[in-house]
Amino acid sequence: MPNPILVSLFAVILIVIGVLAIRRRVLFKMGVRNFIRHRTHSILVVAGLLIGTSIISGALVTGDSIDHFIVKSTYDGLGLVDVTVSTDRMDFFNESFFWELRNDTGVEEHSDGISPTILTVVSVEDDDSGQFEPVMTFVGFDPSLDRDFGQFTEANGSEIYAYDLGTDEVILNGRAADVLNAEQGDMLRISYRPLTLQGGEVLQKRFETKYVVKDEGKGQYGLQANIFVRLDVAQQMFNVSGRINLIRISAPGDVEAGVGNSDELVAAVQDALDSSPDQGSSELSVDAVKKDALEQAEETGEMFSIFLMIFGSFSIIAGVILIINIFTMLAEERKSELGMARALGMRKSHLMQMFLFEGSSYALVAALLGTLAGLLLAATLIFGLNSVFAIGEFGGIPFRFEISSLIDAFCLGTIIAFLTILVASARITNINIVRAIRDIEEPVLERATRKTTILGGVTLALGLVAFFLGYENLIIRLVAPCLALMGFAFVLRRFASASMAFTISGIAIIAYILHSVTTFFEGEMEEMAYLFIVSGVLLVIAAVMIVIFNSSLLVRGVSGSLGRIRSMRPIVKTAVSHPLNKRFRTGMTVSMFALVIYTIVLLSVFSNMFSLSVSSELVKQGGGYEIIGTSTIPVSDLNNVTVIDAEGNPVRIESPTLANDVRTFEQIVATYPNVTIDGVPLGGMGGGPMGFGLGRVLGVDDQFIQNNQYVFAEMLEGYTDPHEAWDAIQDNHTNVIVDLSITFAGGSGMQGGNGITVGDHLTIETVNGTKDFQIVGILDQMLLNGIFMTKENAQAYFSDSFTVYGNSVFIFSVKDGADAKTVTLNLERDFRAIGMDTRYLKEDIESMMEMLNSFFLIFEIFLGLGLIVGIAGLGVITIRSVVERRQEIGVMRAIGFRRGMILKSFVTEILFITTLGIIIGTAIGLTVAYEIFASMMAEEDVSFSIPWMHILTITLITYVASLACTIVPSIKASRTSPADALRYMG
Amino acid sequence: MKTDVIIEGKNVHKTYDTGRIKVQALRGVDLSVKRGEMVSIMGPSGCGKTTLLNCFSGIDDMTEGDVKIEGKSLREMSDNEKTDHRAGRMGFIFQAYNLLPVLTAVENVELPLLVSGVNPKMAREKAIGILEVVGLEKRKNQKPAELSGGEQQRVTIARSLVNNPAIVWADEPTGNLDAETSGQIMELLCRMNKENKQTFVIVSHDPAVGEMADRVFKMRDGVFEKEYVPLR
Ligand SMILES: Nc1ncnc2c1ncn2[C@@H]1O[C@H](COP(=O)(O)OP(=O)(O)OP(=O)(O)O)[C@@H](O)[C@H]1O
Ligand SMILES: [Mg+2]
Repeated sequence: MPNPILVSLFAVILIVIGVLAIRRRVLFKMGVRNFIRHRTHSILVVAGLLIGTSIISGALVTGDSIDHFIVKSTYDGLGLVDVTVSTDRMDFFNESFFWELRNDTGVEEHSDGISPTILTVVSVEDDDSGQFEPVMTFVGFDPSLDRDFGQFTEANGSEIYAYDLGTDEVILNGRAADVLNAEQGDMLRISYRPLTLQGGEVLQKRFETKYVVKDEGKGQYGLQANIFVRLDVAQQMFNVSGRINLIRISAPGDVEAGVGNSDELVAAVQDALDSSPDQGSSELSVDAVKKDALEQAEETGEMFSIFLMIFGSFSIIAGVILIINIFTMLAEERKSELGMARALGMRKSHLMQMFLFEGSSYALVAALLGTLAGLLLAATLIFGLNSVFAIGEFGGIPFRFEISSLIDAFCLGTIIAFLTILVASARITNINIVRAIRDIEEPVLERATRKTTILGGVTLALGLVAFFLGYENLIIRLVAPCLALMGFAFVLRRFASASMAFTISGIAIIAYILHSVTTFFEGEMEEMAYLFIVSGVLLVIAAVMIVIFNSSLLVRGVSGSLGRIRSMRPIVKTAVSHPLNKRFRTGMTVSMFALVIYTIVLLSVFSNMFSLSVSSELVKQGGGYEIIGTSTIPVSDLNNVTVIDAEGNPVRIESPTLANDVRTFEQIVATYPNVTIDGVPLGGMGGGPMGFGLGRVLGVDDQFIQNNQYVFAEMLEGYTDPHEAWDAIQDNHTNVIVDLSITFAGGSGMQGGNGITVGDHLTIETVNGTKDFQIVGILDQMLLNGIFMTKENAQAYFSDSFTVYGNSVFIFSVKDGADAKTVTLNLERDFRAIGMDTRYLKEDIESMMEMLNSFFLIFEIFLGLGLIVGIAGLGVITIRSVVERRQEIGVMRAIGFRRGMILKSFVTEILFITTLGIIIGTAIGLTVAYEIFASMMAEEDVSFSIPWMHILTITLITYVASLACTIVPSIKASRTSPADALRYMG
Repeated sequence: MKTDVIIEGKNVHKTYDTGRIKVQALRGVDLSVKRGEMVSIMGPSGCGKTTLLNCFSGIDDMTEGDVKIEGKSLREMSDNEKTDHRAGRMGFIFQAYNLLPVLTAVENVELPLLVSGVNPKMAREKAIGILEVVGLEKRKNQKPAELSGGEQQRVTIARSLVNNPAIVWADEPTGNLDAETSGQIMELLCRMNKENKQTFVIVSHDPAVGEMADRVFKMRDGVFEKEYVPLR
């Protein structure tokens, strides 16, 4: 659905223009003719204007695509499943609950399918292909009970329910077959550990691949590599007869329609469970998984759109400035024409309408093209995202758009352009008739008139009143004083020169904003984003104001530097005088550049600092170990693992790599209890043996405590040596040490998370009820993440958890001379039976850095689009200048300026404007970045660093693009024949 | 050699070809001017006076014939050579548009010096000196729009003389001025001519201006109709 407000605003604008056009047909014709008359000019104007709309449209369409991607993944992954019943940590429960639900009339009424399931992970090896996969999703299902969830599709297209699946047969889906390189008939070995077994033993069972099915329907459940076996077989394997760990339920309707009926279903299931006589029903939670995921999808898509738009808003604002600039120039160009029209009796409002008609033509054409360009932009962005995150495996984010998004973008683009044109028209038609006819510049007044002084006073008062009344609102608190200061400048104009007045207020505004950045930039992310935009714009305007009103200093500076080169002197003189003579025009153009450069610099400083901090963090995170491994099956001692093979023969795992290439390794027990901080669950979902939870407790032994070289970010007061912290967890079993990641939990990005620090308490669910633990140290690492306590304590507190019977996390230190990468691969292969998944930390870090950098680069390029606005603006100005200055060029040529000098003069002028924009943008960007850094990140030991090379590259690109866009008119100017130019009468 | 020929044009033709129409603005003009001489070219509007000035000074190409300035043929000079020659050896006063509006009076005057590479301090001094000569030192920091028509013209003259040129080309130097101001301007030009031995080629349709020259050429339809020495 298109946004009704936008559409109706657009309609109002269209109606107003329509009515005006009919009432003043002549003006309408004149306006539209002006639009058609100057072709190149119009093209540039439209090009500049459409960027804003294309950013809006691109942002919305990218959001649509991401939304669609998640929606599609949700539908694909869940199929007909709408609601699930399980415990939080996927524990086993009595199958009787399933039967109760199945026979419940309420559930019956609101569902069209219900099936008991065992869902876990196993390690699989294909004896025929020789491939193995340490972690594969294992689904135990009952083919007949599962009937209502549809059929599997074989490669040849035939559909099956697989009723004939034997006790030693499995179904592989496409993904699973791919990773194992398996074919129908392949013999597989599954390694697993039944609940009852402990210590160093792993069981193996042989299966034949009965079917390989397509990744469609229920075959692609969870979008994982799946291996399906009969439920009774699974129960027997894991020694859990009569128990399951998941009930899948489908609400009436197909894959998509079911979502609408899931609320009733959840209620019915909950009712049935509540009235169940069986024990343990309270452990079970009923989740509308599909509905939740879809809501998440919409939110994520929207978040992405907003994120892009916030960053893109600087370009949109630059676009607005471009419109004002262009119209000011149009008015200057037609000044005598306008004066004449006024003298002949046209009213101001008539002139305004004429401009409005012309402007609306630009606005409409630009909005239309911009909306379409946005599609292209979004497609590029998505392509970039797909290649960075290599989501290709999942088919990648598809390019999708909703017509309503396009309509919204079109309407919003038109509205912004139209409002800007309205303001610009009002400004430019306010002319002195005599001066206009004689084409004389508006005089610069020594002192302000009474009228402006009073206006300034009123603004000053309004600003102050707004500040005190709206102090609670951060935006008002930010903007109101700036408004007051601007008003103050106009009052000051009465007594002092313009440069004095505007310099003083400009400096005051900058000081105030910088102060604000450090003091009240906290709070909600969204609010912060608006503050970031508003303060950026205000800073740029104030800085440009200061620079423009101190032009004499600037001229002296430029002449003093460039003017040292003798041949450049006359060139510099004319080149710098022009832009400083047209202060408004120049100020606006400089602002466009400065705004865009500001955002890019800010982003690049933060992305650079972020990457640096991440990489430096990660490097010191190894703690002296190169490889981390996790096993899905816990073992008590990696040196002593016995696999009981399919024939019942015990076989000890021999690992030459572990024996020969590994210097030392630590074995750590891991469990995933529910952890809360002040009642807020840590890490949310994702706990459990299959997930990567922040709420992971790591039980470490004496050897680990002796050997590890991990560095502490913080320790309890009084501790000076890491050993004191480690001693503390041994001496007192309510003391724990955590890794750095816990401090980020619950927060987002720069906000610095939940503010957890040493001395704080974690509440953890143990077998003896919930217990409080004190954090005595925070490790300066995140790769081995978890809550550290001694192995004995972990076993005492969590002995019911099957994951604690042994070690499932291993860290390895490789011997000198051994190739860490090879060791990583070999360890994974040697210990495949226990589902060992190993990571070579260095490589992990590198690929993560690469991903991060590309991600930032994509956004930078997106921001860089704003530069097109600035450059198009410069192009328009140059084309105008060449026409405006024909006679001047003639005079210059006559008194001895060579062609090349005229060209140089134009180029210098363009470079001058561009440089001003770049310097102001970079300076403000760096200042704000530093302020934010100092107030938010200084205590984390990240040092402030400036990516000079990167900024230099941006600068170079800006220069080259600016020149490329202005060189043609400049060359044309230099080719002007002096005789012709002097005859030219405008 | 005080009496050498500084400007020598032979059989100069200029045809404007706009594609649509052809206008024969000059149809075989011969003109030679001696160093230190002041000549004036008079004739009705549209007879080709401005065209002549443009072609002879080298800011426009001619269709036929050749002009030698200080012995050098304009035809044989490249655009840059002609431009540099203008910068160093010539001064210009145009019919309508003369000053760069974005520069102040003194900046306008010093510009030719900067083009020829004089150091900025010297250029500024010289420019102020010459503004004093034309009586405008008080107006030196005003921009053209802030000056009266006569003042603007005097700034133009100052600029045309600042680089001590060998030849000054003046197209209607008193164009829009009243008789009295026009008289003052002409006196100034004559004084410069006498004092500095500079060559002046002045175009005007005003007899009061033309008659101040050493020689007068009457022009009509792109050719000289007659040449005479005015009686004083
Ligand atoms: N660029 C041009 N294209 C076509 N015709 C031109 C061009 N410049 C001048 N002419 C024509 O050449 C003729 C001579 O023009 P020129 O400007 O030399 O006259 P003028 O004697 O200076 O007149 P005035 O006293 O009005 O300044 C005129 O008929 C004019 O129309
Ligand atoms: Mg003329």
